[in-house]
Amino acid sequence: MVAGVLFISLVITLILNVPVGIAIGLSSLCAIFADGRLSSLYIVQQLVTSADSFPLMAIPLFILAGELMGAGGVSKRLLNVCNVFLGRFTGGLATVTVVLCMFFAAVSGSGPATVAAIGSMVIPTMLEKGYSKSFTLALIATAGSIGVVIPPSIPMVIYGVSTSVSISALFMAGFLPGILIGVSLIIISYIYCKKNGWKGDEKRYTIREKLLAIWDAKWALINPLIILGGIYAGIFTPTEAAAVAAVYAFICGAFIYREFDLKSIFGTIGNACNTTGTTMVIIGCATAFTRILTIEKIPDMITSGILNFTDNKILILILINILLLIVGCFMDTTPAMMVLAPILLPVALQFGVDPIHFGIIMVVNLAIGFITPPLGINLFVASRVGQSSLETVCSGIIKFIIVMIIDLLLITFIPVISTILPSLLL
Amino acid sequence: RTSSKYKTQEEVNLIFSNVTSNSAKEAGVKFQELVNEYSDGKITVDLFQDNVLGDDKTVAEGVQNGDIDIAVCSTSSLSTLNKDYYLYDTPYLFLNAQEVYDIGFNGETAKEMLNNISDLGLKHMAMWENGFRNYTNNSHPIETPADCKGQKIRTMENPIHLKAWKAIGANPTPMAFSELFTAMQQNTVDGQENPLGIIYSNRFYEVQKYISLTQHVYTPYVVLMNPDKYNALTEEQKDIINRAMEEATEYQLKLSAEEEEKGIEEMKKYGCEINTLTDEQKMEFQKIMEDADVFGVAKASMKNPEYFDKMLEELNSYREQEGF
Amino acid sequence: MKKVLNFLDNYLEETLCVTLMSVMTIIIFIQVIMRYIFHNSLSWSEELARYCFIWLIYIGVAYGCKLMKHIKIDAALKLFPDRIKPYVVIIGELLVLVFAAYIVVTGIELTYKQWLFGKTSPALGLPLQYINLAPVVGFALVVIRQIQAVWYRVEHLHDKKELEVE
Ligand code: NA
Ligand code: NA
Repeated sequence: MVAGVLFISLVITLILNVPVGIAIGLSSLCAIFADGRLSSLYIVQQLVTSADSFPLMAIPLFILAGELMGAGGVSKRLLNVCNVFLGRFTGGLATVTVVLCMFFAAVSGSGPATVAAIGSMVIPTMLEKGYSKSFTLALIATAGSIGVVIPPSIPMVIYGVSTSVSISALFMAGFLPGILIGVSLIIISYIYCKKNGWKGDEKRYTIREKLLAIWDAKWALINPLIILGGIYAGIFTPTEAAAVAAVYAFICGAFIYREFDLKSIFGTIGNACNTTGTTMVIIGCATAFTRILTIEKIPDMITSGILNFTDNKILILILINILLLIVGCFMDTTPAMMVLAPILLPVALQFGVDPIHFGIIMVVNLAIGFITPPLGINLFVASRVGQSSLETVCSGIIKFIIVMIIDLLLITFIPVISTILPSLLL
Repeated sequence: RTSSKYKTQEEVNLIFSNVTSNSAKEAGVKFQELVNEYSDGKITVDLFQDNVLGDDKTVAEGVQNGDIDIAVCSTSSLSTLNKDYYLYDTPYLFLNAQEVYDIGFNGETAKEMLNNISDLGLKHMAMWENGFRNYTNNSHPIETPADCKGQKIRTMENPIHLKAWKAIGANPTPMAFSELFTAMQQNTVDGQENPLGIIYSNRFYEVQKYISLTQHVYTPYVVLMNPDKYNALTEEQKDIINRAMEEATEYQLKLSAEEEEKGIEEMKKYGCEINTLTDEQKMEFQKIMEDADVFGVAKASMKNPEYFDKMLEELNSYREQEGF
Repeated sequence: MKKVLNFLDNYLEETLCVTLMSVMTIIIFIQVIMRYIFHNSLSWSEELARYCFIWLIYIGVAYGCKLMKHIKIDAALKLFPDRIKPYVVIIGELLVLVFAAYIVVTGIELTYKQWLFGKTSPALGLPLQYINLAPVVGFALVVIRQIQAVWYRVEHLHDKKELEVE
């Protein structure tokens, strides 16, 4: 009964255009009234205690680091490096875009942030060189989703916090899957560009020019090394790494590249704060929501439901993937991860799936959710950055979704892609 | 609000929040079964293991607010709520488990002090065992305080623990528990300190070579209940709950000791070096901590510091009796 | 006076958020520096940063309301005929207002309880009611922002463009 109240009120509030976090909060509130065992203080108590977590603080700090990198001129120099090396090949700019997204992903923990930062730089150039609008925007929306697969990654932080799996280990595990997705995107763009005759840059760069570009970008290139090197050399925890990255990006932008003034710094940090507030309220309310689900024993019911249906590991993993893909169409990554990780992990564990591997499966699924309509945040951001309609972006997205699903299947059924690095290096 | 929610009823359902330690989880199941048996199924327990309803602080607040009926929590996480629990954070106050059971849990002072939690809207039900905390690291066995010098050790966020480790010369570093395993793997920290049950069940022995049985702090669990819920029970129902809790507690303490033995064996098999400290060696640690006035800090942190002195007195006469 | 109100209306949340975010980042940065350069772990830094974070979140929620930038499922609006859409949006805004008011009221009750029990934080010894006040203050600001939002929506009820901007 309570479960019904919970889900129906959630759907109604979402349809009534209530923000996702508040909708989750309102439906929890309805459930509390229906259940009668919980007190009215429950939600506000969870709002405070769920936020009182050091690992979760990695989220605002990675958001801040990404914003500062974008605004401080760090990303621009990375673009230059990629272009000098890769711009010449067929579909050169497309390759540059994907590689740049992978680079940026290594400092940003968010998919939409990656799209916004890279898109604003490369979209005008790509259109100018004759790439079609739908291809360009769809490519950037897709490549941006690598932002959550290559570490650092906000959904991985959420998965780690809600299932007590090590965040650093998850970060390590995301590397190869992120590179796999990047490479597959480069391949599909190459094929597509060849078909359409989109050539690369005419200009050949000399070695001297290449070295100069690297030299000019040296401070930008060091940032990912600081973040990931620092975490894996045991110098700091993911949260501390994020703070260091933010301070570093600030120093680059303010003192080395001198692209910040007081006003733009204020605005940049303000942007990060806005993203933090809108994301974290979802986490606070979703914690209350998930615990109400737990008290109502809904995860147990789902688990036994799935287990009654089949006990074949492959089939279960496919079912979970389908469930996550469907959820990803309608739900944002953060609440989906928040609500589903504690429900699905126990099922996966029963079948001997490694918890780190399962985390990566979930992250990749939800990364696909960034580009599946109707709710695909990367699609929205790409259309806004590219100043065109959502339909234009969507018309080019299908081939990329198919490629991503192939990658997902590889990642799901070849666990070693995810587990080899943590087991070798940790 | 309380009136409608807490009326006396023939059928009672209890929301029970439990921790992750094995012995506590099994004792939780035991309690659930016993209550069910003694009440002919009239009292049911919804058992939530592994802190799925929140961490210790969150569930204790939940018991206060009436969202959770019974909760098991570590006293260390609740010492900011009930400051008298700081007593149990004092290093080398108790020297062995038996004196904890006899004096630390069931002595005159302990009983009075523990029941005081009713001032905070909580009913004290029982003390369970988490165990003595021990030091693990990767570089060498710990035998003297000097062995800890400069070691980056992950500790709980607790002023007494921090003060004690600083006095020993270590570099205590608070860190989220979920990051601890990887942090030890990568040497972000040199070591950590926890009861054997936790060291074993979280597989810390895979990344820590040396387990030194320093037994510096005895960490208990406390079982708390919502008093309104309890008071709404009939006398018969109260008896059932109390009886089941008593038996589950006995079972838990026994199991905890067994599990420590088993854990030591398994970790030795895995290849860990486990060393025991003699009483004289422990005294060296105690001496430094006493010199740094760690007892004083613990006492000053308590709401009723007089319990500290009373407990020490009781302990001393107990030790005399036992010929210590 | 009007100037002050204007400033508060435009910059209150943003200024608070930017300050909290900066303080939080710097504290953690200092924590790393202290541990690795001075071999001295700070005991208070993590806790203080965490409390900045809690405040940041809930002031940030109000900031999101002010900018009307919360994550919503806008596609669902397509289910409604054009004529009804503006009213649906207003109902949505009112529901947010109701939730915010509920959090303020229950938050005050919770804070009062904390105050009665005299709980303090482990490292800084800070009374915990200062932390529990974060959602209260944040959602109180949300209440104000939602009243402004509803007012704005009602004023622009027949202005079709308003919905497309979303
Ligand atoms: Na990333
Ligand atoms: Na989607």
